[in-house]
Amino acid sequence: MHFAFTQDQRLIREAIADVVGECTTVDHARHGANDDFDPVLWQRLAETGMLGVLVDTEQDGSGLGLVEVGCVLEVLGSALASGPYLPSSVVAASVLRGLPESVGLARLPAEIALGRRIVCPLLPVGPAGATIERRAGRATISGAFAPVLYGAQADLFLLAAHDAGRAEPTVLLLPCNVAGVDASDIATPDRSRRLACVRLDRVEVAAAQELPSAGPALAAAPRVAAAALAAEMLGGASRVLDLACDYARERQQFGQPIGRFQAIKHLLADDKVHLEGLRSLVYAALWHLDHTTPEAAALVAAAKACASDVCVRIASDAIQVFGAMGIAAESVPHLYLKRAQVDRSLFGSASHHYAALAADLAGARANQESAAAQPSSTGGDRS
Amino acid sequence: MILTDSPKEASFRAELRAWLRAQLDDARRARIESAIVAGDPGPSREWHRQLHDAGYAVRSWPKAYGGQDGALGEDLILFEELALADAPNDIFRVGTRIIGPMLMKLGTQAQKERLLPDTANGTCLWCQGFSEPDAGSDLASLRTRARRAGERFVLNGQKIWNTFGHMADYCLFLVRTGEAGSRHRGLSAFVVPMDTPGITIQPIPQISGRSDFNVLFLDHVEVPESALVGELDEGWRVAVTMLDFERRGLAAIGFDCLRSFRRLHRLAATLRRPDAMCFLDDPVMVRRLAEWDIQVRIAVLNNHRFAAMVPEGEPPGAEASMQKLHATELNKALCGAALELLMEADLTNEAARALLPCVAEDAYGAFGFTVGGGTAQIQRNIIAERVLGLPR
Repeated sequence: MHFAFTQDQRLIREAIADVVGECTTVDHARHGANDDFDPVLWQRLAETGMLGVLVDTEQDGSGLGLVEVGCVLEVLGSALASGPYLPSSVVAASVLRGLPESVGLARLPAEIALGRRIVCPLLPVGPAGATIERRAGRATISGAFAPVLYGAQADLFLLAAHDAGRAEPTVLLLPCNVAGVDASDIATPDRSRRLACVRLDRVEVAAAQELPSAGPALAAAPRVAAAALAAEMLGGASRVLDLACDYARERQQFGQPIGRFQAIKHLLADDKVHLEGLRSLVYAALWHLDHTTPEAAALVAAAKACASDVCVRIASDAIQVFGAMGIAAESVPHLYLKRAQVDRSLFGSASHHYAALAADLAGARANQESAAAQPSSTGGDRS
Repeated sequence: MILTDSPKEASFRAELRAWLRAQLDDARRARIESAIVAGDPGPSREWHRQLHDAGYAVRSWPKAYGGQDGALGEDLILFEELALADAPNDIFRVGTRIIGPMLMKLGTQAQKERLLPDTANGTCLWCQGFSEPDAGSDLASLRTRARRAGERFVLNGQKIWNTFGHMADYCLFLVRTGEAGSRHRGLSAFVVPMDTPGITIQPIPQISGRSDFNVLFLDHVEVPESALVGELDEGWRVAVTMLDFERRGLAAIGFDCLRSFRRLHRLAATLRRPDAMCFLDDPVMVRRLAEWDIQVRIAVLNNHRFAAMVPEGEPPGAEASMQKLHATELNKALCGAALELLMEADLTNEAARALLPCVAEDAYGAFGFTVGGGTAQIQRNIIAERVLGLPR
């Protein structure tokens, strides 16, 4: 057991911090970018190999794992960076990576790594999703998805559709520019980033490429997405807590910095404890996903549920520490609150993830009852 | 980053787990616990010696002092497995986790050779004399005094919240040797056998029903110069070093949280409410369990992550305050929840009633840990000032 970054992971953290530091500020988050997303940052992420962390080396990627991706996401989250990194370079790349050569993806992973094509997964929330209909020899796909990160800026959608003719869902890569596809941005409070509502209205299946045997990889995608988002949220919460501490050191009232008052100290100390707890969960979730252990699912649920609560709390506390300045639009903390509140709902709400953990705990009843029936000495069991 | 046991760690864990299972049964746990409550360290000493002889008691200590030169990671596995095996309360921990490591850093060669092997094997049971009635969180205001009398020092004063002093062989006292008002600059640390004439011990009954704590009255207690630890008037360094190591020892509470959570979960799964409903069919209860499940995972992961930040042999930094604050508050919540759940259970069930004394003792005992070793509020000050850099 060694719960610390390797030297290589530390170098990635430093490199991504340099890239993001030199080409983006949080100001874009105030008004919403005119462009679809920050083209300068996207270009730099491509040049420095950050878009291909999960892409195999034969496809111009670096063939690393989710812990390394977590390092990148943390920094992107801390800068409220815009761009489809999470859907395309993390979730889509992780799904495509699991597919056999024979699927014929050609150079698509490389195009993701180079930032030339953006692939957005359409992950169903609840029963919603897509369905394939076959009528008079013609197969079409229909469905609706929202919110979809950068859905209106994608080149390809990656999705699974129920197909009445088949037992397993059919996994498809669907170009976004074909008839029947409608993707429009949703006006969320978080203007730092694009979210879309995507509607597929009887889109010709023939326009799409079917990915046989991609079902299992796509089934794991919601977990990858939730853990990745939790890493990005961690970065945002860490940054906004730093801002609150900076302000508490500078702002003078009653002849001294407000950070000297215990009311402020203890608020921020509690936030720091929550933040570091989240950090432990996030990297444990990413590591266990990388190693496909049985604990991965529960750790992802724990990380995303925890992030949902902690990040909103820390950003809210930061607004409070900024006092009246925190309410002024020119201040920064509210940008992190708005991002965190939108993040809360993405890839499974807090309730969804708490419910997953609760189901595990309630499901353990049978084991617990049989254990309790035995005479003690079960204390050493790690169930 | 490696979040699983190495093959070596895994075999150590498996061997340790099998050993603990063979040594501990409920009768033995009860015998050790009831002896502690009665003020008899005998069964605990026997258990500690067994741990020591098997190479587990002070695994990370140097071999010369009775340890195994083990990695700190093995200590963490030990803490975890002891918690999961429901091992008895460790009354030797002040010596093995706090005073021993401090002596290795600051003691004289003679003190190390005389005291450390006996501390390792359980011959020497330690307590500490820090707090006074008027010096708790403000430790530097303490007034118990040591005056030089030729080749000796004479100690007079009163210590309080001294844990296990009624069973201990030695006490590490922090006393004033400088002038009154010299604060942390005029303190010194002394090692004193508890049978030295002039020490009177008075137990303090606690809210848990136990009496682990004492008041110690020091009336003309004479000690030789060789009892001084570190330099004269530099006892603050000794105290700070001990508090630092204490914070690491308290990391074991992260694993205690796991034990407390499993017990709470077991109670919720097995007990019925008066309306015959299972607690796990109550969605509010299950949601609360899920929230605690997350926090317990954090406590355990923090233990590993924070341990990896500290070089071997060094005391942990201020980061340990985060771990201590989180785990002690969590354990208090978990133990309180177990008591509340039990009180809401169908108490016509004799098995449920039988659990009450032990569950209640833990629930009230858990309050001690958010006070001892620096209160939760002092930990928040440390986090704010030394981790977040807010002004003092």
